[in-house]
Amino acid sequence: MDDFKGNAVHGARRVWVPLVVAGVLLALTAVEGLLAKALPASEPVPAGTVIEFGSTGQVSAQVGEGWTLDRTASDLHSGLLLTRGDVSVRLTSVEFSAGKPDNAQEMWDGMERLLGVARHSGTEVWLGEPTEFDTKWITGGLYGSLQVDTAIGTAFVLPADDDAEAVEAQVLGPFDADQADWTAATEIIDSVAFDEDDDTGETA
Amino acid sequence: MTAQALALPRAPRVDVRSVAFWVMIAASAYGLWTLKQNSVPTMLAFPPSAALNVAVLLSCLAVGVWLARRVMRPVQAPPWNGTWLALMWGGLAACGIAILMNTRLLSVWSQSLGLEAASDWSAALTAPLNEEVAKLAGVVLLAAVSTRLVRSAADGLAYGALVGFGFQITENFTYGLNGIVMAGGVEPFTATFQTLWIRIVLTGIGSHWAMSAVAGAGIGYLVSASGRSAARRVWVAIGCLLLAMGMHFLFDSPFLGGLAGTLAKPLINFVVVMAVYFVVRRAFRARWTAVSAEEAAAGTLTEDEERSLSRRRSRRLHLRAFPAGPEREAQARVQRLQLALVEERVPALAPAEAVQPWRDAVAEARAAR
Repeated sequence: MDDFKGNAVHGARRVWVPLVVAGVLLALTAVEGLLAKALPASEPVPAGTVIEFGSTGQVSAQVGEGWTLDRTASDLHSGLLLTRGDVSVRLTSVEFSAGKPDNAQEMWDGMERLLGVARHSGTEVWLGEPTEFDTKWITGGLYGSLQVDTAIGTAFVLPADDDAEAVEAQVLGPFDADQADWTAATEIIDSVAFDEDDDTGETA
Repeated sequence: MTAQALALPRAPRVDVRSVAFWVMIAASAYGLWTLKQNSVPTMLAFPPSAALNVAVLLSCLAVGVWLARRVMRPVQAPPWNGTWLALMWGGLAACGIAILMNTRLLSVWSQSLGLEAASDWSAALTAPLNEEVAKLAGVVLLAAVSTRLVRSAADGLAYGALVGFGFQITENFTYGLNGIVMAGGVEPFTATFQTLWIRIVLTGIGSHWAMSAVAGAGIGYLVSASGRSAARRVWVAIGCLLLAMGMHFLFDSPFLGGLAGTLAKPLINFVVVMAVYFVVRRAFRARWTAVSAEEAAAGTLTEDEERSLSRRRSRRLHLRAFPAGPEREAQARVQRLQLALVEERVPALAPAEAVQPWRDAVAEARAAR
């Protein structure tokens, strides 16, 4: 009865069909990997560009001179990764759909909890105590020192007026990064605004 | 002769020596490792959310497997070993492979399309290709694990649904954890609950299980010994895969936005999979009826048995006509052998004489009552 052909995958096909299946999956993975490597991962951003992001494009940030956008790590619906020299700025749009925090401190605590994921992944993360600050567009923000492995920098929480959403930002770079790059990163943070039209530059 | 002395004349349904079996094991081990890397740090950082996720995962597994086995295949459920292999492939191997491939293809879109277009369309251009292919590979491998697991479009549909269901459960699990990140780590338990609620209650009806069931039906048709031409079987399989990819594209696309769209898209997919299901079910039942009639004419089935064999409820009612105890148990054994016999003959190209051992076993069991 073992010779009974219940389906078309019998005899030698029972050997080569699974090998072909595995080969197709490996080939597809390899082709997609090669394509991803062949394309440029980042693009320079013209000075003065205002990028709108967030689930409905409700957040904007203006980028100064010398920045590049990491396209593979950026998504207009959720956040951006910008780099200049050795300094990187990660802007993440957060909507507190699960529960509106009472204040920025709760948002900061949430961000600290999320950094715990990196700790459990084996990354050394240290977040300092937050200090209040305001920008031209945002009041009641918090910032504090941040260290991720050997990179140092600052973490920011920039809440919207109604505390229903926020932008969480991480500015990181090596200890000896150029001071001009740090200053340029701070300018991006200062430019973050909610639902504000900005006609000073082109929109990406 | 006792009932225990009668051996069921069938070959093992899962051949652990087959290449396909070990490909499934190796890919699932890789998938498990990938999921561990992705999920364990978040689970350790948010234990209550992880506990909720695991509880929901296990509940869905129990309910979904029962539903898939009870409803998706006509006449009787697929065997348990095939069921677990399908779930394992979907939940571990396909998910692990999809995570790797999706990362690469999403990167391609974000680099080749504009940032705005990539943000809107990259999911719809990535998942239908990578995830449907990864899931469907499981059904093909199941067909190669044993010639008896996938023998008809109905088998392909049931195993496709199980593979897709395994994928859906694992994906829900990872999304349940991702929901915490999306909500900024604030109210993590509620964030996980909300994500699971949306993915199970609102969109679960037309998600991965439905897409893979459609694609799987095509593979079942392709590998079936149905007597149809190879070209027709290939085109049907390709058509089913493209239909499944289309369902996935619709599901992930920015079309039909808002709450209405979120509800409408899975409903459309559900209607599609039900249409495919009824076509497949009708063909399977037609073949079953023809074979049953032949076996009744050959004396293997009585008229009552022929009438009652194809439906679970009528089989139970048929058995209840026998006094509880050894007599009913003996008849139940006859019934199981008859089911196995007709199942063996469902492939149209199966030579009638090949199932003679099943006929002999039925006769032997009947004599032993």
